[in-house]
Amino acid sequence: MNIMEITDLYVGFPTKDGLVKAVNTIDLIIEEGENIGILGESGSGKSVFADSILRLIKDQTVTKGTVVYRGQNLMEMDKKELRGLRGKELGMIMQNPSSSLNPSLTIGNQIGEAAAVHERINKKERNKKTLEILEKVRIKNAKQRMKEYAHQFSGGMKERAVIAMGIAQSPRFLIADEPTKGLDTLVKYKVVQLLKEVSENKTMLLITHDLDVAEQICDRIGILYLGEFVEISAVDALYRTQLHPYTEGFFKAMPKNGMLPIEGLPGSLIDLPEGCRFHPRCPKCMERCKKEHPPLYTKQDGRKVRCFLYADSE
Amino acid sequence: MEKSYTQAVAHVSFHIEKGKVLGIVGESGSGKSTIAQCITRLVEPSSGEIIFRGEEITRMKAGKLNKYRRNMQMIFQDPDSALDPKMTISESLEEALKLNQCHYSAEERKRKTDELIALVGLNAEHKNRYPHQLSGGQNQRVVLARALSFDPELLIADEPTASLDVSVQAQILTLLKTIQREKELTMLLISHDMEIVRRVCDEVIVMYRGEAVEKGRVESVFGNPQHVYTRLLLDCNEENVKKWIDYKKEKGKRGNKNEE
Repeated sequence: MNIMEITDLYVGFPTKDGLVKAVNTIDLIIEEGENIGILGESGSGKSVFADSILRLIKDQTVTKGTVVYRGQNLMEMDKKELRGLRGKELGMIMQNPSSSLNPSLTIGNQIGEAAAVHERINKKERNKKTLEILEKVRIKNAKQRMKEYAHQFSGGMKERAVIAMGIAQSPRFLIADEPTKGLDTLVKYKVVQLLKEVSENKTMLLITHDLDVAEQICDRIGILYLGEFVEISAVDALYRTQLHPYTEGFFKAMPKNGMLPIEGLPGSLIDLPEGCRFHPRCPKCMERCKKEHPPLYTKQDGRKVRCFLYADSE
Repeated sequence: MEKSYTQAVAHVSFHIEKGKVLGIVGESGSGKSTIAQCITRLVEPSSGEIIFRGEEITRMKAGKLNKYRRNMQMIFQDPDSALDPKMTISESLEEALKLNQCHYSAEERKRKTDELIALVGLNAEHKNRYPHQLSGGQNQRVVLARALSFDPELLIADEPTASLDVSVQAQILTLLKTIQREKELTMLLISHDMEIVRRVCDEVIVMYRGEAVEKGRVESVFGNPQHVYTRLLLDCNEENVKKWIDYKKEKGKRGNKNEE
């Protein structure tokens, strides 16, 4: 069953240099229960994409398209209805715990707030619930730790606290934005284990630039380049062979895969390259790629790729 | 309250051969940056000695220290904050040249600036831009050019690609390695990424909480890691995690309360 259907999603920010077309355009169907990874480099639009699903973007932003979550179009919902869904149905694990946690509230207070926002419960029940959630994300000595502040927590602990806030109301759909950024090897390993655990029986959209993390957590991965998917594929197949030249470049740039650089720089989201957006950097660029914008072809095995090399494989 | 001290680096000894690349790898808080700061005398070591080209430097006086510092240049993690936002790229480079190659005429400085810009793979069009008009990767190239303007013998790169994307990281590290080989520079590369060290370095030191737990040639440390911690960094799987936790228990090392 499909839990979310995203069609023609477009997000643009007006700036003094021009319109930044951060998401342009995305179509994606997410099945209930799957873990889908959105992989991309900075400036690919991945965080804006995540924020736009929950409509956590500024009002002056130009948004087009539909995001249908279990029959309801989130883009047309009024703010009150939307607030009813956030947290309860759609949970968010925010990027960068050091700045998404409030430094002047105790950790327990913040998680309690997230847990009780839709419910009228007394302080005692609230504390009990907070404690349960903290234990669920494996914060040791939770009773004591819930009285502490963010600055008393290490990086890994803060990440756990942010995860706790995201799952506080056990949402059906979880969005995690770069949950392992800046974490040391062992801490990262543990956070990945935790994410696997908390996403059981849920649907999760994971935003990341980390190939290893995506491989461990996701069933399917979409690769974003300049605001659009260039490839969508099941994890096993993708890590065996990459279809799109950008995906291939991205994999080969990893130190363990040879550390081969992709020539050039990502283009600008204001002046998108004509034709295929990757063509100025593509080693396999053809004449056609400079003028025509390739569609997302679906191969017989179900993999999707936005490249003319696969024009005949449909 | 009694003043307390944190032991950032404890009894670490190593040497770098001229023209080689040494990697220091470890997690945050392992003391790897402190070592770099001791070598450049940004931090005074509490004890021990550092010998650079036969001279002990930890007690060197200011005048001599300045000359000595010229021979070692640093590249930092965040290129955007390492450059003066109010100076164009060529101004930044020319200023560095004015300081360290004071015999140059204005014309020579200009010529040298152009050379440096080309050396690090930037175009002439970047010359008159400001740091905010360039990407992180391009700024890191400028920082590298500025470091090279001193003709240093030792280059210390402290997580030079930690804030960059993978594809740009590959560009910068490839460039660093090429220049290091061409100029036969001695380099100290600090990183938390084992795979980067494997690609770039000749020798490696693995640090944990201020101690060097393993050191040796890259082929042998990576091919046949001896320490449980090294194995953990190389392959963070269930088995290695368990072994590491057992090892720490056995050693009776008490972690702090923030330990994961």
